[in-house]
Amino acid sequence: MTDIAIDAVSYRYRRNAEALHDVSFGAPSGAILGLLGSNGAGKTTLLQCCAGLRAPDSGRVRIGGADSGSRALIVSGVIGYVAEGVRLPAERTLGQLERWLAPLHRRWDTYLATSLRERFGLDASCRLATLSRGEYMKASLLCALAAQPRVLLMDEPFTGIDALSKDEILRAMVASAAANGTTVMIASHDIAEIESALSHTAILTAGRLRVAGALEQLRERYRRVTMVGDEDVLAAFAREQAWLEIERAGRIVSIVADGERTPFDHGMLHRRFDGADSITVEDLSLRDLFASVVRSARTAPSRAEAA
Amino acid sequence: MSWWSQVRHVFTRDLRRTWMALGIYALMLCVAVARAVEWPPMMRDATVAVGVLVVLCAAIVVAVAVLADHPMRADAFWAIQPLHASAVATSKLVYVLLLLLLCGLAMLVTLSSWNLQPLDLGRANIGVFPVFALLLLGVAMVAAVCMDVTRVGVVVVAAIGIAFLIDMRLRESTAGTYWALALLLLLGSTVLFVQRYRDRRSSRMARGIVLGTGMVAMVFPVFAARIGPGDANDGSVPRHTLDEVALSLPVMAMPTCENGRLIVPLGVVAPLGWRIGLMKPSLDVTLDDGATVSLSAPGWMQLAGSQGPMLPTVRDRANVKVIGGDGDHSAQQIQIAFVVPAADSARTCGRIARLAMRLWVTTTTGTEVLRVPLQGQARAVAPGFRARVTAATLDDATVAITARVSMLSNEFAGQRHDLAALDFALLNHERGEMVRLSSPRSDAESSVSELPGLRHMASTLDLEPYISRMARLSGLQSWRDSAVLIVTLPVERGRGWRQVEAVVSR
Repeated sequence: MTDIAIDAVSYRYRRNAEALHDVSFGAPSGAILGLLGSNGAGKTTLLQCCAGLRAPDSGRVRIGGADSGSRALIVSGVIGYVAEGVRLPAERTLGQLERWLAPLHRRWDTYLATSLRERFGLDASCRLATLSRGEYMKASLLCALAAQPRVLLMDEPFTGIDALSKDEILRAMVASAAANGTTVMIASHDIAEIESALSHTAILTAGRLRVAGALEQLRERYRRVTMVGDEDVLAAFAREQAWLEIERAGRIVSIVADGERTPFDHGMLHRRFDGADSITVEDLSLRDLFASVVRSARTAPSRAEAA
Repeated sequence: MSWWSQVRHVFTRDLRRTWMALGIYALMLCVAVARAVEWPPMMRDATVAVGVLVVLCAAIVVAVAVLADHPMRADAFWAIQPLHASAVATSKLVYVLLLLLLCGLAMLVTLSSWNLQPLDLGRANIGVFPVFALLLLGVAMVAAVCMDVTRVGVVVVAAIGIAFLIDMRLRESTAGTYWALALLLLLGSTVLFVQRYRDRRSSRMARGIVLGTGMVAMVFPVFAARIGPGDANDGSVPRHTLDEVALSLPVMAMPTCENGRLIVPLGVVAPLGWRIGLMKPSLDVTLDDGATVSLSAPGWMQLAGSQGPMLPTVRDRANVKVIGGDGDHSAQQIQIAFVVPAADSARTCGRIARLAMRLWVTTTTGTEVLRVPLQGQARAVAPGFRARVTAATLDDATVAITARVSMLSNEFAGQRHDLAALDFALLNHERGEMVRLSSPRSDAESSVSELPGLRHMASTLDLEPYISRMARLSGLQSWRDSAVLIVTLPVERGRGWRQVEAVVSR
């Protein structure tokens, strides 16, 4: 069942360029989806559209089959939202905040809140204003997870947080998602850290969706193929094989190949380009895939012009 | 959680969150009440503008409460919690209501010190609360558009500046309040404020409308108090008919021409203590050949028909002898100069056969509002008035009284007055005698607004007898034990057009 369904969403800020253009993808129930993109790609805007904090200019977002417009799903407790910039009431203590939130959320789990607090090493009597950045984010996550939302949206939760804290937050998030079947959409620049937790990913550049899908499928689809050979073989390879990115240095050419458009089975490549001295096919890390997608998107206009 | 529970939930959290600011506000109100009731006595000499501080404190508290759950900020915590936007907005309005109620409580205590009846309290509160509510709602709306307290401060200061300019410009205008407009503005502001929470993404124009309405709401109290329909002087609807018998306006002598003006000497004869206002004089002159020329006086004029302090209409004795006065009636002669057009000048002057003058006349008499015994620092309170004799010296022929007097503004008197309009007299009830008192120094007068919309005036006055040049006072020593100080408020007795006709004989 699809928990998050984003269908042709576009959003434009006043007097600014289009923040989102015709973005469509989805995530099944229980998925942990990494929303990746460089700065200004539209990740935050998309998350806010999902939360109903912004209404898309066109298209729609459905969470658990219901329209997310006008905070309706936040009000009903379906969506939990954690964002780097959200200001917790600074003059309250964490314990006071928990007590204030508990009656608001139908599925608030006091036991879970206590255990998360202990796990994060937070003090209930400590005023929120005195918390460090990492502790602040942990407190935000605690508030979101203890409410047990069906869908948890997280916007840059790891900015400025040390590695250990990141690990704790990520573990807590994964454990909670596993226990409650929570679907998580997380926007982050810390690709390496979150990669192990993700089941799905979507990559945005300049408000447009470039790649989306299950991580395993994407790893199957995109691989790095490196070929060493003579000029004519390399030229044929670059011409015939679909690629996202290409790098060439002397007798070596390296591409991020798109296996969906032109398959890159190792044996088949050897048969087709038998003049090549060597052909190697490697798996891509999510970080490499992201970098290739972003660079590919940036060079796409110049490639189009050259063509 | 139900909608109402959410309102209560957010409201109680706001209370806990801002208890210190609320405490300061309550303290300010206490100081304001202490200043208004002049207890302890040292409070009356405090020079702190408590009224301004009360308003500023309330404005800051409201701004802080709204900014804590900002309707537009992307980082607002409430927005990511299962809270209805309208419940959050309503809780803020309830918060504003709490500030109003606290102020109302302070006002109740203050007004009680002026011995006001529940009806008067109601009248005063009806007048005050929409205005104060508008002011606070205006601040809330500005806070709902501005992103931080600094910007709110800038806009509020700008609004105060505009209010000050309007106040300066309209200072002389008739006072009153457009209640219908105030309530409409209140309703509109409330709807816009709630809508701000519901519609978190809005256009620049919508923000401009909210900001503009907020500023108007803040400026409105001054604006309304200055331009509203108050006492109209156009004479279209007389309150009372003019007393035709007691007032006499004879033409005293032949009119004379001088530098293009026709000067008519008019006598004003009225019972002692009456105050006469003559306005908008116009003159129809009939010449000896039967032709008529219409003339008017430049501008309008208001004249005192009777000199000195106004005599009170003493409630428990029909005939009181005024000692040191001029008799039963006062007479005064005035000259009204009418402009004669240059074309009519030659044929008008010297050929006048008949005059028909039309004047708008108002008569005012003194109504006793308060009497204070002279002995033992006595004090007395009447609805809207308070007086205390702080010192009294009565020698054989000398009277010197120092009195502390305070009065509320026009909401209770029915007419617009200030402390300077009050008159004083000393009544010896046993002997049936009265001495009019005047205050040679009025520099001690102060007009104070301790609580929003509730203005009162307080002054310490040195009173001495007002007697004619020929009169002498004696035997006042015996007055000490039986005399009372009577405070008199001028009340309009009648108004209307008055026709004065005269035949000129040569």
